[in-house]
Amino acid sequence: MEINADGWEIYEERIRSRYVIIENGKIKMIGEKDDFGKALRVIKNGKTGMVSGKKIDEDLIKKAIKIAEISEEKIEDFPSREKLKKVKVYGVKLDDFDEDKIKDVGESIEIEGISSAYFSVEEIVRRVENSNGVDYEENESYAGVLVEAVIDGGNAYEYHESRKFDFDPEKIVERAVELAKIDSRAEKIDAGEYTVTLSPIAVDQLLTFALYPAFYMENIKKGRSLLSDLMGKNVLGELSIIDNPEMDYGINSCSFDDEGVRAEGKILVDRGMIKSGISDLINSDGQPTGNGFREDYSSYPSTSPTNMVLDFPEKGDADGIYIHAFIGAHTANFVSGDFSLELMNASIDGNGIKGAMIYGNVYEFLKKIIHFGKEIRQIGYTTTPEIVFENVEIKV
Amino acid sequence: MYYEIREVESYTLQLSIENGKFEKPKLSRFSGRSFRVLKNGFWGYAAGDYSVREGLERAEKLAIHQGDSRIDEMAFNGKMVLEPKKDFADVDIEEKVKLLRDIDERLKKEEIVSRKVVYVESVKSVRIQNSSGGEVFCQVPRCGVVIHSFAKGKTLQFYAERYMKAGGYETALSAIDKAEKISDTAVNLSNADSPPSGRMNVIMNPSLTGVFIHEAFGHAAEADHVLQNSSVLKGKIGEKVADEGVNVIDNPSLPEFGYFPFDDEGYRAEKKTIIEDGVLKSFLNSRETAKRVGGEAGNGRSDGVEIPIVRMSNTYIEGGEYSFDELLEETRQGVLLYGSRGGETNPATGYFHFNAQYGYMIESGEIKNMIRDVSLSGNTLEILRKIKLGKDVSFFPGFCGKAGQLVPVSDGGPFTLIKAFVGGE
Repeated sequence: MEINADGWEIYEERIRSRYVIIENGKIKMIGEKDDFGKALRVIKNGKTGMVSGKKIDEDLIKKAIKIAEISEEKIEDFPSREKLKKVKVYGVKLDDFDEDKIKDVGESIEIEGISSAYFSVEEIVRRVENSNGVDYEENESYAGVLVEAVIDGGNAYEYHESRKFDFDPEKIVERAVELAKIDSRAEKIDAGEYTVTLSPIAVDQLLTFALYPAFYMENIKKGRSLLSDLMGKNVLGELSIIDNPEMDYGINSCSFDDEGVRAEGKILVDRGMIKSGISDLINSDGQPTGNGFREDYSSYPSTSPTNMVLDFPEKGDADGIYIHAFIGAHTANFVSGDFSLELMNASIDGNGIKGAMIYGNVYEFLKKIIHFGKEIRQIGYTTTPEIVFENVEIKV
Repeated sequence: MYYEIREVESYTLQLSIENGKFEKPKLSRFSGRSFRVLKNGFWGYAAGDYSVREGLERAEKLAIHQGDSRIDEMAFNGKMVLEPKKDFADVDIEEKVKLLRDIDERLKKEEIVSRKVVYVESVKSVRIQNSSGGEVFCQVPRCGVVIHSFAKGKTLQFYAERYMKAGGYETALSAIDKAEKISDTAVNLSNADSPPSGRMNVIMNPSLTGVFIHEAFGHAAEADHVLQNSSVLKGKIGEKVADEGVNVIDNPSLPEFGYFPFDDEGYRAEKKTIIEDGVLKSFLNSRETAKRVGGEAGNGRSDGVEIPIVRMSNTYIEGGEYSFDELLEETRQGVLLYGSRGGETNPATGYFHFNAQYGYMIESGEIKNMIRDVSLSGNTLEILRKIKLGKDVSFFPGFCGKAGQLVPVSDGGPFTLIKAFVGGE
């Protein structure tokens, strides 16, 4: 197959998974999926275009070149081959989870009060090859459980994901049931200023939508981030944030990104001071940070964090109102940092709280941290313990 | 034993212009198959590039347990190909880029710091066969443009609109006249004031009404949520759940963004009346939920070769008696809110929360200053019992996410007056 272009890149992805679905406390379905696809990017006269499909045939290659010829998306060149720092990302074998084993896990979480639950094991093979000699491949794995519980009108959800099968799905499910029970007895509280503790889930929801996109070089360059004015300034109190793809078995760890750029840890915030941003290839001005990822093989690479590891000097215990999760986190405005969120499964002294809201600006909010909890959890893009904030205004 | 074989092929072209620069052009093709088997009341599901025989064998092998699932096995046969008014396959890519440039040109203003226009065209073809002898084929093209404008004034703000429909290039062409107004709105928004907070009268524009009826009510009418005990509407069929002037419809046969002729379970798609004169008439159903809770199937939809689940199509609240001026007069004091930046709802409790794109204060029945970053929350059923409906209905396209699957939908309604909790800084 000949590609008549100045440069090319092929991204390949195969995802195989097996899963079980529980509905109303009973297992309902076992399924499996085998998805494979490729994407081709070409460079023609310094510009790029992309096509994708199950296979890249001559017709698709021609279309890629045609698109690149009229494109204005500049890429000088694809990355060159480098020595990678190998990180461990494969810890559970799909073949060990045949239909009988998956059924056993499913039966272990057939618990009353579960409206739906999903357990899956997944193996991914990711490969990037380009005209500059890059030819990287990485085998990855995941096991995960997602559960929603409804009890006496109270409800809750909980989830967990890991590179290994190193957790007990039953415990995750029981936690959701417990939260739903608390929620069923939830009552209104008085509006006012409170000390609040955000669970790792709540921290991840808030920061993923209100803060992390502000670190994308693309948003900084395009006037969509306040950080363009805040770089080098101390604006986040004592908080530190590292984007770290090098943690063994980190959920988003990798030794190279989806554009064949070597992955490395980066300090984004050092004790409150904004230090740097993250970028994919296209928005990087020649200095990609290894943060170009694709939602799936047919998506254009775009900037995404890996593992955002949060740290704070003071450690202590949860205090005040405990917030398990938020409703509406995706409505946060990352451009301004403003958010307004409904509390979900919040409690105070073990008593559920009904119909409370919290709103403000993420940059102001993060200055209210008084200490971190002690037990670190990986959730979504974030690696963090519980975080305790003071003087947070709760509206009802 | 019941089985179903689904073959999906799709094509998508996406072109974007960001700040005048033609970026990230992308063409994708997808093909895939899924197989599902219902045996002893238990489902096995396999998705992959298998032959028909291997796929069915794999799905059957996974159906190893006992369960109590039952389905409506009705067979449908037919072929539906939606013919666009103006086929995008006949338009050169250069012309599509030129359209984007023309739109982009109209977005430019001194206060606009960033602009983005995205063009998308897609064709999805699906063939579904089942063990009852049903075989359907449908092919639906979709096309349109999404326009974003970012402005810097007192605050940094953005405003976006989508123009997308099932059909051809005509929808993309229709967007050109809207561009200037989108930038004007972004600029005004960047100088807008903080909203008030508290419980108050709120007029929702048709787009926000649509989001409300889809997010806050529609999801609770999905029968899978009812079966999972996570719907506030459970057990309420035949009961009055809204003011008697309220009619809520889901209609996949309208040529809006959520159009489909057969659903992804091979079931004929038809108009469903969810609320009639304030009374809850039916839930939305898949083949399985229809058998379990009653009602008719036809709302089983899937993203690619994922498991079909109960979804909406084009969902709207019918128009009522009030003119816009009458709604303002009824409001006296409150806010007028436009559009949504997305929302979230809890179908189990009926609690909803979303952010409007922008709004205005209403004082003494008159529209006053613009407000930004406004959120709206409340309890769906309480609101439906006291809603006042304007006359004309319009539809707005979007993508609805559920269980990790995205499907094209539209939602709509008239201007409406409600009482809800408004929040801001």
